[in-house]
Amino acid sequence: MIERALKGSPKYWGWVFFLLAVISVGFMCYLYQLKNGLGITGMSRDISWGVYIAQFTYFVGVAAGAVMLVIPKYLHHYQKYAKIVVFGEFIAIAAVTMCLLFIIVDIGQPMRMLNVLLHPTPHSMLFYDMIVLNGYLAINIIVGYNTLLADKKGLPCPGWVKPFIYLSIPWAISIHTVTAFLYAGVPGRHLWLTAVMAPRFLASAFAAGPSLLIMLLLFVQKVSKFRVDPEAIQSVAKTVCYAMIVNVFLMFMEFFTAYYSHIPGHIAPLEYLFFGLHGHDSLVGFMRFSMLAGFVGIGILLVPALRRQNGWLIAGVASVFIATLIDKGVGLVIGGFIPNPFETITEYSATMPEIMIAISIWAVGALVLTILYKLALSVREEQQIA
Amino acid sequence: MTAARVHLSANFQTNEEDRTVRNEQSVRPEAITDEERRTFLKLGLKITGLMAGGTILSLAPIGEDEAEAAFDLQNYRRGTNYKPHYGMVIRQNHCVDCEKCKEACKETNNVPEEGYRTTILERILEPEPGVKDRVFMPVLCNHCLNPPCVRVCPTKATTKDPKTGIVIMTYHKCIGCKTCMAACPYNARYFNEEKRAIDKCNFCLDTRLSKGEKLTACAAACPANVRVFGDLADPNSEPSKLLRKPDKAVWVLRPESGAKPFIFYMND
Repeated sequence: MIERALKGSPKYWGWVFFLLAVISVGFMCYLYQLKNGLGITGMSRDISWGVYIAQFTYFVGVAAGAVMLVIPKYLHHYQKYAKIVVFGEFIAIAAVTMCLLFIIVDIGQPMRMLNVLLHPTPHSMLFYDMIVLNGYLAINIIVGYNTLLADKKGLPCPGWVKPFIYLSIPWAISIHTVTAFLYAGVPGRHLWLTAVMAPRFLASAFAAGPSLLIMLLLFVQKVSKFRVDPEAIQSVAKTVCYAMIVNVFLMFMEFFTAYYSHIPGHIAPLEYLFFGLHGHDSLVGFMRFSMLAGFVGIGILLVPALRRQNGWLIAGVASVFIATLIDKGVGLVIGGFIPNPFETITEYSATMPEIMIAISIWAVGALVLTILYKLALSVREEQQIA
Repeated sequence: MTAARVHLSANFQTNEEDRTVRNEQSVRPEAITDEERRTFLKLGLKITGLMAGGTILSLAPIGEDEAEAAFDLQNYRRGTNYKPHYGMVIRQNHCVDCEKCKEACKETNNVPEEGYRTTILERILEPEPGVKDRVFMPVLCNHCLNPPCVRVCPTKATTKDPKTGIVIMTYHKCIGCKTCMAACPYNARYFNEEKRAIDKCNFCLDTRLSKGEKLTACAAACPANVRVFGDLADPNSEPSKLLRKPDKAVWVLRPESGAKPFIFYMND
């Protein structure tokens, strides 16, 4: 089946080579980082995690979003998702690949990476994160590949794959819960020290992952003969809308708790992110835009007349995707470090090599996704002709 | 003030269980005299002004017997078996920011330019309108009894030395994930580019203590005896004696983190 990725139009190959070019530039930047150390990034004593870990966090959510198709399809036998669930699983594979790469580029000594296995430490959340992320990658490869292979042969999904499908549901929840625990378990970072961290992570994940899926499904219909039942897309769009409403609701819980309790430590990071703290306001524009985009997205997706038009639908899900990307992929991590434990403010700005490395990891994700979607589309097109 | 008082009573609650062992101790919130309350209030305001995170750990009650009075160190470190149990008392009001401690630390421990294991914070306070008060506060790793950094490390690269209680690094295990930096409530850790690992204060365990020296480089270099280092398991050590001084408030930084820091501050 893999050989189908090697047959494509000039446009397909052009895109693949473009991605490879971006990846190679990023790889050069990474070699530069390896040689010179983390000092070439914008990270510092006060901001010890930057764009890498922020993006890692976001894409764990995108990966977990696939479960929003797996549950209706396999637990409720919602057959409209039968043809598209594999596209969700393939997003998960690409997203988890990106997550693992973001971790590798973030750590200061990748040569010692295997120490996580050599010195297993059950009281460390990062230890569990390693287990659940690699496990989720394996599960989605097994499930995605085998269900697609069965479709290609026109056979039902083999019985031994079923347990993996059911396992993928709690596992998807686990990857984002454990990732939230990385933050919610440390004392002294008020923005992170919140019991709704994991629920909010899951809510934004179930908004972000499916919104990316909708954009991709609408795109692949333009470049292939594969047709998706519009009702299926509408169902996914409703999922995005509800999940985003829950996400925004939980965010208001954070605002209420901080501002009504009036505990200075809880207010400070929110103040920094949304209003600026002692003249430091480099993220205020982004965070306000993110909030606005979130409301616009909800507004569009909530109105059936708008949601049913593809143009509006794309605007809606793109707004949700960008809103969650800024909120979780930038603000959450950076905001947690400001102010620092001794109440001084160090701001963070990513350096060029750091941004290039992050972009090239996006390109790796896009490449993995392109190849996997090529396989899936070729099978679906055959099915449609048959 | 309310928060500080809540914290104070929480501390007394800890002593409650202690009273079953030593029923001589009569430290109840209602037992505090007005004068003590005022001292506490003043200190509380001062410390809160200095640093919202650093609240008073203990108001030293004036006991009849000196040994019974003051901050109850043995209760604080109960459950630990470190011998010697190294800690430091910082006589904050004596610090003049000469930075000899920082220099000595860098030299002794080969600390690169980009980092520091200890530093001195500076705050301008206004205890009364129009009165400016400049306070210097030395900070370093707090060698917590319950260190968050050790809890989050995925490779056991940072651990509590089973003998001395010092929070140490095993550099060759560190992958540089920087989770300990995020977890530390005291900003005590930095990424050492040369070692490609996180680095931090270890009370000069490898560079001085293991070679028979009795003091850390910073404590030895301090001309004002601000940093009083020693074995807090030994009631006759210098820092232990300081903590028993009557009518002196002892505090730690960010007690709300639950980390049980082992660097104590006082204005002696």
